[in-house]
Amino acid sequence: MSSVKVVTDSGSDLPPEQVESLGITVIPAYITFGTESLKDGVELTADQFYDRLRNGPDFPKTSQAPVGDFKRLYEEIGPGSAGIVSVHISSKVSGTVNSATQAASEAEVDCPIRVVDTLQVSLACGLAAREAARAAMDGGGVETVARAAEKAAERAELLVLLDTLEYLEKGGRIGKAQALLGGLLRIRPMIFIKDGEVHSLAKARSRKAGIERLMAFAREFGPADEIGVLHSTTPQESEELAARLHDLAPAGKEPLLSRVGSSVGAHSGPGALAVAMLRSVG
Amino acid sequence: MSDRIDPAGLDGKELLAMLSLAVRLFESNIETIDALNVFPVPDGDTGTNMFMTLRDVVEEAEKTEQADSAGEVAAAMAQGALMGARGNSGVILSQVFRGLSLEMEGRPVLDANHLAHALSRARALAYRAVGKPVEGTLLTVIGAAADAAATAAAGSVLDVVEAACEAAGKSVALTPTKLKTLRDAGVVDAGGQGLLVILEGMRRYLAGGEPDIGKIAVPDPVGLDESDGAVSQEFLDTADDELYGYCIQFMLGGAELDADAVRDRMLRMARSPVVVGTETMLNVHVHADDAGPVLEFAGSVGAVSGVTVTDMDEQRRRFSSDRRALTEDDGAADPVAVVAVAWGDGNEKIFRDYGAVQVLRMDGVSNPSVGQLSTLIDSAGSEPVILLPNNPNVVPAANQVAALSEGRVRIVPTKTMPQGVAAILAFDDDRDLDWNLAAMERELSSIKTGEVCLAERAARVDGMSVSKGEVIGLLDRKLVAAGDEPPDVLLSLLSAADISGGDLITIYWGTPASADDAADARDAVRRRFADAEVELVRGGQHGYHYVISIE
Repeated sequence: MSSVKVVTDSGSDLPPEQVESLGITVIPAYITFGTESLKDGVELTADQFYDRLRNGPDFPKTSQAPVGDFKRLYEEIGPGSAGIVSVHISSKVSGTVNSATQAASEAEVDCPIRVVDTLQVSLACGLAAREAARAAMDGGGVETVARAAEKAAERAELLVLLDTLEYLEKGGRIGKAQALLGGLLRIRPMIFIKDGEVHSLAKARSRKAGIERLMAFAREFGPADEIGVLHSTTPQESEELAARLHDLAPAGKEPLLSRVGSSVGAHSGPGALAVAMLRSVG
Repeated sequence: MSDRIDPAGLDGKELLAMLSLAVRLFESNIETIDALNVFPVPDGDTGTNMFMTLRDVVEEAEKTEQADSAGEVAAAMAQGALMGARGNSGVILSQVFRGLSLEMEGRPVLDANHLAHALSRARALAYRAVGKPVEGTLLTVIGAAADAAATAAAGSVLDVVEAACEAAGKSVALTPTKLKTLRDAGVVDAGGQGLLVILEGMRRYLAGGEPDIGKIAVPDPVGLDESDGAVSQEFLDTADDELYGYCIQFMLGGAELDADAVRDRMLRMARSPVVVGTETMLNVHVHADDAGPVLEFAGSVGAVSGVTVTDMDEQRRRFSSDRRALTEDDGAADPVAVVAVAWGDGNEKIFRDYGAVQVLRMDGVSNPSVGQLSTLIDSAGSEPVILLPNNPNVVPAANQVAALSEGRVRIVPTKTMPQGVAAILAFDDDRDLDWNLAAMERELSSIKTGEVCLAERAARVDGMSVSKGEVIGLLDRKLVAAGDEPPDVLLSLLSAADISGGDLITIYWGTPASADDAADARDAVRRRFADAEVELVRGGQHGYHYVISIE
């Protein structure tokens, strides 16, 4: 049997069981501490990552999967498949789409390869990859599968409560959320992704108030066809938040629980709590 | 020295001289009036607020070019009062001058009849100026003076003033019988006493001779009992919601239109009528609970055109759920500017850091005038402005500014600095005015404010007795703690605030405390409330050791 294969990168933060059940291939980004470079999720677990992030001494750098890795992957999974749809995090904050596009033109495979720039990050990208995988499982061709990812990406949202802007700033990904910087008071910044970039959403003072605001914004953006809640270091909070946002998802659908992995976590820092969703159309 | 003033009436110069003397007399009595304040905090000074309002009245009148005309001088006084009004009492007092100016329009000489009429108009204006009139206040005293003045209108100006003065004195003494707050505190109403002093000054000028400008005895309060009731917030809130209902503007065309007559009719059905124009075209601007009767009347007088009706009730504004404003119409929202009033350099910086385009920093514990607030608004450019008063005593003047702005200025009625900070943090300059107003107002209820200061005078409020100089702790302006040491009072205050885990306590320390005091206080709070997050910030405010936000 010949079906379309779906690829995404480790920045899409899909939980492993989803990756497995939907037959998605995840290509890892690289996390570099000092001179040591590790594959996200393969050579470095999230727990190990946050531990090193907090205890130092080196500040991590992230880099997209190189062209060579993509080429090797495409050449490995391409033979015998009807095509490859490669769904990735925003080209405005990562070079992943560039690597994938170049690899797609160089890979020596017979099947067509489509690269989708979701202009989203983390699970908002992951949910688009999941829609693509579902279309592939339904037997869709390359165009159908790619369009499924693109349509999902158009209505994907990511709302994030951070503990600090320090990591976004150090990693150079702060984008339009720069407005949140500065000031004498301790602020929990809230951001969202718009047009592929980080934008400021709101400022909360206490974490408690921040979580309430995150809920309120999720409701303002909703209702949703798909919803996921993820955290970098606070599983309890994300479970509680998921339970409280239960009604935003269609009846019978549980919010997806996931974790912010190393490549996104290097920029969000510890203490990030996020809601990803695919808005209902209409 | 001077003889009795001509009973036939006062020209502009005499009117100004009479008021100038009254203001000098008032100045000698500021402290006496301040001492009548019910709430013992450093910034609620009725005497000071009224005096500063009066000073602007005289200054504006002195600038009048047609100084001989009583009508022109009265108009200038009204303008000065309008722009100089500070605090509730100042705003109400400004209506007295407005009444005088309306009565005297086009009249060169003030006679007994005019003065009596002016006081009647003042009463009507003053009652309309406050949302929920409360008896036993300056309003009641204005009413008593107006009634007495009417009975003496056939006599001389001095007769009218003497009658008003005598009635005002009795009315002031009786204020505790009408207002439990005063009864509990054992004082007469400060604003009423202020008016009595002004009338007495006028009387002394008219009576001639060498005027005495010394202290005036405060009438003994009548009707005190031994009840030990608590002061409610009611009294302090009486003039906070002066503006509600609708702002109605329209053009009125016709022949031989009479602006005075239209304005008078409007006074019966609306507040703050402004009617200007010519015999063939008037521009009308009023505030009323209902636009129907206003427009109906207007239609019976002439041709109505260009009607705009604006809902002033910001509370009703709903949170916009239109997310397109956020994600799709980038930059399409009309720009909105936020301006704020702040006490202390640290607090000023906080408002600037978090997006206020202009901040009016007040010295000491003083309150800004309507004129200062207008300047603040003007300095913010031409776009819609949201004003954060950050103090209960500034809210009335802020409302006055909003009323004068034709809808350009909106108030988020922040009564404390922490409420103001919460409001400005909710501000998002990518969103439009209504979204921001709703988001900022919603923050007001999410935060509690604590204050630690010295009692300005001995008082019995909220069921507690405090002596002058004692350290007191207020929670949302309710007295909840008293003691000898600021840190102890701070801890008792927080105990009353029902702190739970995850709450954020921010302590803004002011000039009465030192940096070391403040750090010690923070450490003590951290030890006591281990589950809460505690942050210390230098506010730099005068008068208050600590201002605390609990969220």
